[in-house]
Amino acid sequence: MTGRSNRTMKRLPLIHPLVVKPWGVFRKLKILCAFLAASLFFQPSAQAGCFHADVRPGPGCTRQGLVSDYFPPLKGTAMDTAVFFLEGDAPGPTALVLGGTHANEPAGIMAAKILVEHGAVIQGRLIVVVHANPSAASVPDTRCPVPYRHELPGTIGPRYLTYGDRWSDPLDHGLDLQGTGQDKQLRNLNRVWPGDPSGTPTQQLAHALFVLIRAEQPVFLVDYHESRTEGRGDDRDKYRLANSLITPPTGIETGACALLDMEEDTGISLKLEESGPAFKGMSHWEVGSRTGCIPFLTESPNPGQDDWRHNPDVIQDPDFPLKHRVGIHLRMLVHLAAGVQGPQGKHLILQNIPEYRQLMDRGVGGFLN
Amino acid sequence: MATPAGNVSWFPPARGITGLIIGLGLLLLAAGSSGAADVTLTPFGQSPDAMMVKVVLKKNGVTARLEKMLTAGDLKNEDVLVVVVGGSSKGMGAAGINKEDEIKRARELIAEARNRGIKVLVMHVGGNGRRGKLSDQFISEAVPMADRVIVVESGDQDGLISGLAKDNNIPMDTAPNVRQCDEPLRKVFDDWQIK
Repeated sequence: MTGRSNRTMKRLPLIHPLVVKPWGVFRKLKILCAFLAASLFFQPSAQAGCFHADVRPGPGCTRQGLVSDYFPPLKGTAMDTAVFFLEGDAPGPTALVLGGTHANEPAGIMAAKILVEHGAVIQGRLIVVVHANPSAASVPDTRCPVPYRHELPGTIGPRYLTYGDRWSDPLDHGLDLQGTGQDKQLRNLNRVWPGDPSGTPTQQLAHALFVLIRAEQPVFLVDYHESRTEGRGDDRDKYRLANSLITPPTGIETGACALLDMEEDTGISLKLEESGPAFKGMSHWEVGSRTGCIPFLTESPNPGQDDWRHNPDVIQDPDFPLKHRVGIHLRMLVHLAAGVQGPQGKHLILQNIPEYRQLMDRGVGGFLN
Repeated sequence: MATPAGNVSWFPPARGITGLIIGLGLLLLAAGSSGAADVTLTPFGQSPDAMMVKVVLKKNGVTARLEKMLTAGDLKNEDVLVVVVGGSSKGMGAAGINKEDEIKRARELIAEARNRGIKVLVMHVGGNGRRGKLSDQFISEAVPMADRVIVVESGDQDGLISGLAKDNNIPMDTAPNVRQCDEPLRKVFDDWQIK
């Protein structure tokens, strides 16, 4: 259930103080009328609203909170999102997983969901944010015509995958009803790290996640992403992100070891890419350069992002099925956990994370409650 | 503790059998280190693929030095120089160099290595994902200057690398993936009688 029709639950969005000036009563009415008109006539925006994620935590999930616990101004807004904790009996290092930083990259969202619904921790602690940008998940993709809702067979009935947008809903930024008057990058969660407590709602969301990292002190972060499957012709050099692991110099050797283990485990080869100061605003640079947490960003190949495809099948594509892409993210986490040492040389030890072959046999839904 | 010469010893008192064991251990350690292959790695194109090769070597007991911006003047008495080819525009940007700078560095480095009798192994391990205009230029520069070439198969689907190796009479080995580069590496080192 996504609950996208329940607009009444949505509080007034946070307004960027630099963009919106204090209003008079008349101006407020005008804006309200424009807002209502846009809600009626612009279909994608009309679907916007508080995003109610369908996550059904399994026994490995020991508690749940909200990102607004770390930055209260987000409470009750469309930017607030659930934070799930999987805590082991034995003490050990903490890791953080972010799914849905870009809501049109569903393999990361489904991988994070499987962690919460099926996974467990023996030693240490895993913190999972399934929908890192719930506002972006509340609206359809504006880049490629991929349907918003996809049914997956679950273990006790159908489950639904929502295919959202790369950017936060403009309505949640409180202005710019057609999404043209504001720099899109300020609505892109992976361009605004480490966030800004007085910035746009998306910047505030990044700030909240950054406060979470400072408070919970994960030793490593995995930010799940997807990208075009491949570049074509002259674009070949341009789109080279698919099947890669990106990390700053502090994570390069650990990342290389994890990639070799990944090859042995799954037969899948990913490229290693090094982050650096040129990646300003992105998690894999900003988190690593400002905290003790080593960030990793995984990129799986999503046919839904290939602009040369007609009617891409983001679930059953014969070359890049969802289950394969989810397997990349889940297995990378396992191998990174085995490689990153926490205090006292301990590792995060995970349990019940599907093997790649199991995912290929049973599908993503086979590991959802 | 003070030694007879008045210096400070690093070791606690070692007498009798304990001293003998420690002494033998140190001798064995020294013997082992002096016999190890001296291998230096450098990327050509500034991709992190050189780190992948370093880890493969490490898993096989070979400790290699990795220098991203190794120049001809930095060469010592290596047995082997491993040049790992793969273009990364972001990597070159981070290093503050452009394509021409990188080609110049590699040309001078490999020429000096060959002058000194250092074996030059060129590797491409990034597969199809590390091919494209930028990488292909580096490949075309590096392969003809190599003594041996090792390639991960998916990086040579169009035969560019094997064609260059064949045209220049350079032996080439392949591996299905990076991890399995250990076998051709072992073969090349054996052929060069480097332990």
